[in-house]
Amino acid sequence: MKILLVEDDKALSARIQKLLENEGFRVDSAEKGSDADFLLSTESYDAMVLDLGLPDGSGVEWLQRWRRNQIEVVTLILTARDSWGDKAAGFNAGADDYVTKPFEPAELVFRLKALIRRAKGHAHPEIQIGELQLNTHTQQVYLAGLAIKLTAQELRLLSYLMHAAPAVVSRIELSEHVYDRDQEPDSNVIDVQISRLRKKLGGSYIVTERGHGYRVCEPEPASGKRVTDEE
Amino acid sequence: MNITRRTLILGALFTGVILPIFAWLMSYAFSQTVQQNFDDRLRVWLNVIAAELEVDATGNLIPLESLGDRRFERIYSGWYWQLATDTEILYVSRSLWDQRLFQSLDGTRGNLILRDGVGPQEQQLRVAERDIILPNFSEPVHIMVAGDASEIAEQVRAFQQLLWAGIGIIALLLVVLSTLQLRWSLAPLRKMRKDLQRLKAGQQRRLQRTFPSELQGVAEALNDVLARDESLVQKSQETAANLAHSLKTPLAVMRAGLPDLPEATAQEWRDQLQRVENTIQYHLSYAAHLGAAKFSGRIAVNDELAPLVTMFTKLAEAEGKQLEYKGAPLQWAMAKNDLQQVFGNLVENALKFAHQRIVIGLVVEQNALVVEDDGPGIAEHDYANVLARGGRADEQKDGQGLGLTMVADIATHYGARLELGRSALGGLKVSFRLVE
Repeated sequence: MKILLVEDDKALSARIQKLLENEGFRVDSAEKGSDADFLLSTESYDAMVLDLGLPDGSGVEWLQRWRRNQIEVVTLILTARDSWGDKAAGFNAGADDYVTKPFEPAELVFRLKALIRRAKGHAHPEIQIGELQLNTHTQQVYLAGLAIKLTAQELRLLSYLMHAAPAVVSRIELSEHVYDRDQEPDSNVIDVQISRLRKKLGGSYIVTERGHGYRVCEPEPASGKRVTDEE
Repeated sequence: MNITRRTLILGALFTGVILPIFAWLMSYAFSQTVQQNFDDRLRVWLNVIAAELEVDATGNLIPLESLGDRRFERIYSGWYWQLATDTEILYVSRSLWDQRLFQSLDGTRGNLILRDGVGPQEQQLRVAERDIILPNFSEPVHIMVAGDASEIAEQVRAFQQLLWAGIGIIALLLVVLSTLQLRWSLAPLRKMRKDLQRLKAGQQRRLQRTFPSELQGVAEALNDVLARDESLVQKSQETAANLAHSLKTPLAVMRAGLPDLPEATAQEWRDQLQRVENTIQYHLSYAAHLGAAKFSGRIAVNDELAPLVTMFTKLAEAEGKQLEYKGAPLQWAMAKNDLQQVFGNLVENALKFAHQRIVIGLVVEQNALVVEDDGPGIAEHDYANVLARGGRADEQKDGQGLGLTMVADIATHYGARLELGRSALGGLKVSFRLVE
């Protein structure tokens, strides 16, 4: 998942970035509203963590502007202000949730994950597709009730595909949202990792939609249109 | 004792002392004048008698004919005259009949004496007497004229009756006029008191009327003090908020760094950070509503809560919970931030602990905000602990406690009643009732 973190305090920004990366998120950070504005116009994000007190205008004003410009990325407000009026103003500007500073790191991660999950249309913390289950809180994958051991990169890949399911995810989208900017892979690397995942999951949970990308779905009897790499 | 009562009592005292003294002086002056007039009349009669006296060729005094006043003829009328020498009484008025007047033995020669005397039948008389020497008469003739002194007393008594009746009416008029004068004079003070009551009730923030010049200065000074006080409180709140906000980001950094520490150390740090955060939050909240009750205008509760209702409805939906809000047109004398803090803290708690439902209502009859949920609630014996104002906020864990403690604190500042109970939904029911 690709997160935009907008926080002007360098020390806090670095801490949050590290925290989120440890949780498997890919994080871009911006210190000012204008930097975030640029990133939002050029990249796509799964969620945004937005501090309300920015040096070049309040987070509420920036959020209003982005919403006006049809940038609908789900947003979690980070605020040092206790005033409920400020929080409500953030919500009315288009935020989806808030966390008050100082926050418990686990709470920030929990809320962010829940926000992304809900934004992708999953009401429950466990995303279940056939016998394949992803616990979004513990980041553990189960197949028919048995835990599957995945590498961090495999987990990110599968998690993104499962969140997006049943939609098709393109290779470009995967490379942007799952891989770090400095290690953006070529399509071959993605194919290799998908192949590994298929071996670990068994069955045909990950389907290749030729010319479009991948999607995760409940295995069905083979169909003429659907092709897997193993075919 | 209020000013009206003081002034009336003082006025009554003055009236009770000054008017009788005035009446006594009037009465005294009048009786003096009446007596003076009476004496003058006696003196005239005495001169008339002296002028009428004649001695015949044999050296005898010719008896007096009628003086023209019938009172000297009517027996014991109180009006008498008497002519005498040192040795014998020569003539008396018919009115004296068989009685005689007692004449002064000394001092009458050449002098007019005016004195009180006693006549027939113990009559109180006023007597004028003097000696005159007549040509061809061997001895000085002692002339006495007496008048009925009860006439003087009667006139004085009649005057006094009129006087005291007048004094009574004047006193009554004075009391009535003083009361009217007081009411009119003190009307601006009453208006000022009404303004101050409205100020206290949060219906206005300053004394807005134009007062008489004597009070205008006071009103302006009071407005200045209010403005200064308000600005001081506002600045203090801003300072407290700035301090708190500036501490929160470093605290967040420390929090975010906790996962890098060994778990035992991290837990200890987590607990200590929580204490610091709770203390900041509690005291910031305390500072925020300090003095607010005094400076608050009246606000429409529904309108101020609307953005929060929207927010919490969205949050509840996201968590798969149902939030019902039933508004009412309540007007409270409360700072907007405090109202939102009460609502936010109560609803945040309800949302955190509810299984499915949160019901929020504004109740006109009770002038209350009521928040209920279907969560686990709080055990009844813990109610007092939760509401203990300022009770070691730094020791409370984040959760139901601190939010409610802050609400309890705001309730105390506004004289509102905060009641906890069990909701029909199964969870906690919190009622915040503003007593006005």
